[in-house]
Amino acid sequence: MIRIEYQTQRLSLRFFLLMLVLFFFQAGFGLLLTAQHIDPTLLAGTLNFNVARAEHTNLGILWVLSGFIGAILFVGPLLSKRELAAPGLIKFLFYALLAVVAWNVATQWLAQQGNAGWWLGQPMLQEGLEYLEGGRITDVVIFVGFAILCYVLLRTFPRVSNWNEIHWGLGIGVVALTLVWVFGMFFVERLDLQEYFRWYVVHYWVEGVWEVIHISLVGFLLVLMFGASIKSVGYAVFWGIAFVWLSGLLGNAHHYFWIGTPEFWQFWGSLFSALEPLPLIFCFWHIYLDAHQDRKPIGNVPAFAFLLGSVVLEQVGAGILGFTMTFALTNVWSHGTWVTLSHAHLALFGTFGMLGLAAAYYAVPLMRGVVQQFDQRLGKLAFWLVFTGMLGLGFAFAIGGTVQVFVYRTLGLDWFGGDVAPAMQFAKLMVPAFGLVFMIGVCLLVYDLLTLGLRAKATIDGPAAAPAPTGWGRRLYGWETGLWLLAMWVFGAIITLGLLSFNLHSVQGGHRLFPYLMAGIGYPGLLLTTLLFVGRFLRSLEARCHAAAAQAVLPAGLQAASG
Amino acid sequence: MSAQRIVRLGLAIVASAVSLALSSPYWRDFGYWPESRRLWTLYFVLGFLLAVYVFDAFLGRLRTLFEHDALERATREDEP
Amino acid sequence: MSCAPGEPCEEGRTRRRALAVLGLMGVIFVALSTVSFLDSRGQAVPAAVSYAGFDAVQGKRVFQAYNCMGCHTIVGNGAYFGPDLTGIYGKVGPAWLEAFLPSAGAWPTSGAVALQLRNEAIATASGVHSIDDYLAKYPAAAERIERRGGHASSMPNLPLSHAEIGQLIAFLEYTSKMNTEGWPPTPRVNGLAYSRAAPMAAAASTLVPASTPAAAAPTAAAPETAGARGAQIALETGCTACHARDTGRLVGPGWGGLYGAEVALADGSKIRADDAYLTQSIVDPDARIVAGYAPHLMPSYAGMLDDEEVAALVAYIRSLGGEHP
Repeated sequence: MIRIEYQTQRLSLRFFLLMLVLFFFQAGFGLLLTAQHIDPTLLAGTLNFNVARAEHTNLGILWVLSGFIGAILFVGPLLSKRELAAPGLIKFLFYALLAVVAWNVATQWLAQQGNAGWWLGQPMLQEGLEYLEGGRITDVVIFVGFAILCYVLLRTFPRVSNWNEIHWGLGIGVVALTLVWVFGMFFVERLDLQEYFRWYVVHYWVEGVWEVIHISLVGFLLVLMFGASIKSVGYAVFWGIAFVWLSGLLGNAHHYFWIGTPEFWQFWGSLFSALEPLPLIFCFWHIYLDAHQDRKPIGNVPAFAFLLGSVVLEQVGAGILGFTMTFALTNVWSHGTWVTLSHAHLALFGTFGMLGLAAAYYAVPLMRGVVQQFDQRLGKLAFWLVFTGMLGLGFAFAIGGTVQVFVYRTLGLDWFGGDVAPAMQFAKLMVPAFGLVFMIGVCLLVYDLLTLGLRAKATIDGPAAAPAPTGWGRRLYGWETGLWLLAMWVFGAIITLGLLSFNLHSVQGGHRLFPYLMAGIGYPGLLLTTLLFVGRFLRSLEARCHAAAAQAVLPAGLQAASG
Repeated sequence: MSAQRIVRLGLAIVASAVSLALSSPYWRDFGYWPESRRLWTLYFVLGFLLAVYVFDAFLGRLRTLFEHDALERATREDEP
Repeated sequence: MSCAPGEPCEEGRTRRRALAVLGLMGVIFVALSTVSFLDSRGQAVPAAVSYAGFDAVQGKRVFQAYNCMGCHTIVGNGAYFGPDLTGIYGKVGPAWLEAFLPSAGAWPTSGAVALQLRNEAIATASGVHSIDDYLAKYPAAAERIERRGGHASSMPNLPLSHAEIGQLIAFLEYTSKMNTEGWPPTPRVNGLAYSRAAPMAAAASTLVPASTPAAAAPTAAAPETAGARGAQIALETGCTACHARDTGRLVGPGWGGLYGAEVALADGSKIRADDAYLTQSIVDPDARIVAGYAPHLMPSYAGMLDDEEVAALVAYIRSLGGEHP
């Protein structure tokens, strides 16, 4: 696709731009949090840690949603072969989203005064539940927003009898997005029951519903980028979604180990979350196969880089790191520590954030009319900065978490200011270091996408500048991809053994060597393998341009003969 | 049953057995009736069977994914 | 494309089977969820817990209103900035929490906890009446007082009211009664014996931040002036957790320049902060509340400090400056 076919697709632009702005502020709050971790008195009383963190988690959810809405609005007309229904409602949705973001950012600050705005037994202004910090007013507005999205998308889609798997995926996705949200809209007296329902929203939303939208969008972007056939992508989308639910429906029980629910959840949650990586492995192969379906040069490298980053970080962050800490025997140690942070950051930003950015990099040049000649260097650089930064953050959190498990759980020292935080000091300093790399990437990314097609055109590399198809640029075959994947899982197994070793009698007796050693091998090994693999994958794709350039100088007759 | 089918099922059983072994609960006190020994046995059996199904279906579908790819590649090469 | 050419197509059947298995999993999930919350399970519920007349359900509202989960974890969920709060009530007991929560910016001293035990409701909830019994019953409180007492904590002071503190403690009593199925694991070693543990603070006198002028005074074995003795009492009893030595507001009014100054009261009248007013504020703090401060937040020191000690405290406050009448 080289130009916009349906004018209403352009409505997605504002959501992509909003996504970028919110992303910038979310990363900024993240940096502030790292500083507060190092100096807990920083801004204490002015902007307490819990308020800054609520902004960080909420903006994270809101920008991902904004990216989803943008991507759905962009592909909706293409999937339906007609303009979006009710464009006026979409404009309203945008302003409602703006208003609810501003309102939510402001109301979170009330937590410092202990003001939740209790009315009719409900916290109207803010409610202090992790990820769902927004008050009831925010919740209702977001619910209405989701309902509008459902209405627009379902009205735009063709008749149900003409739906393929991508229609079903997106259709079910947006409806479930709306329905599951309702479980977060009640004040629950019992802590165990409240946590039970909070994970409906957090787990079923993220790992069930977002994942469905993710798989569908990835599938359709592959169709758009590589001309993969709708039928085979549809097959992958159906089974991807099926495996997400076959593992994730009962896999949600990994959140019910220690919240006061009975012990049988420890078994069900462990077993089925052991299966949760399966859909991710499935999706991984699906993107590999489709990307290698044709040998044509890849037109938009940043868009594909973010798409690949999304699927690979999903594999590493959600799949492998999630797997390592999902068993009752490992989770009993990792639960409530920084170990979980490495998983959360890689999985949430990686899977969903990068998908929104991929969609934006695909769609914005089209909407700005610069698809043929846009300077991709800034986008590629920004990708590598945020990708490396995020892997580094995952590493810092995991190492800090391992130390925290030992000091806090094994030794039982619970003085955070005196015992725990000083022991984690090295990791606490690594976080802002990688955070800065990430933040520079974010700034470049936001600048690039905001001004793409508007700033003066730079000279653009011809295809001759593409890497040679030898060495790291040679063709990536399936067996090599399999080896990379295997290496990642071997490091994942080492991490799992390290966490399991906290159950050993000797470790509980105060000997920390084994778990530290396993973490010291496993985490850097996994994250470096990931970095190198993505480098290898992208280089082999970019090298296609080189081949194409070489072909272009062949005599026309010869080229026709070889075609 | 074809050999391929048997290998797939065998792999699924081994994978499920490993998952089951890793899923050993950290804590069991058999205090509440749904946590009685009899029901624990039921959970293990039911969980194992479901896991075998999911692994088996996964391996089968992954195979088809590659078959589709080979097939499409072949049709692409047939075309001029 | 779902079927290779020439083979019988089983895709539809396979998909239906997958959906059927998914349905079975849904049934299992709903059944397990239902039995998780039956009364017969015997899990603690907040409606059945109250502490000193305060309701644990109200406490949960306070917990959410201040977004405690944004720094701490509860049942392991939340942020990882501060320690997990699930079992804190059972570990440190209610009197320590009563002493800590109003002035969370500083760790309570032994005197501050002892003062709380003079309140009958708190002593009853604690199950002991003397500070020595309390420290024996709640070793985690003893450890905190010994290692951290008088130090600044990493937590900011929160504007918690007297009722909110009671409700919050009721909620924490409820969570500490919850059965969390073996989590967190019980440590098998004494962590304090490891190098990771910060060294024990030697004596109360070293707890004072070195920069404050009062720091040097109480280190002498036998303080000579009444003001110096008052400074030591202020430390040991935990006054300094709420009252700054300068004019700043921590939880209560700062003491710097207070003596002899004109003070606006909550009822609109004004009073000079002289010996009589300061003495009354220590033994009966609710009698004349300063404008802008909530009642019942400061405990009464009557019976805890004798007349001579109160006089020493007042002398100390006088020494911190202000006009002399």
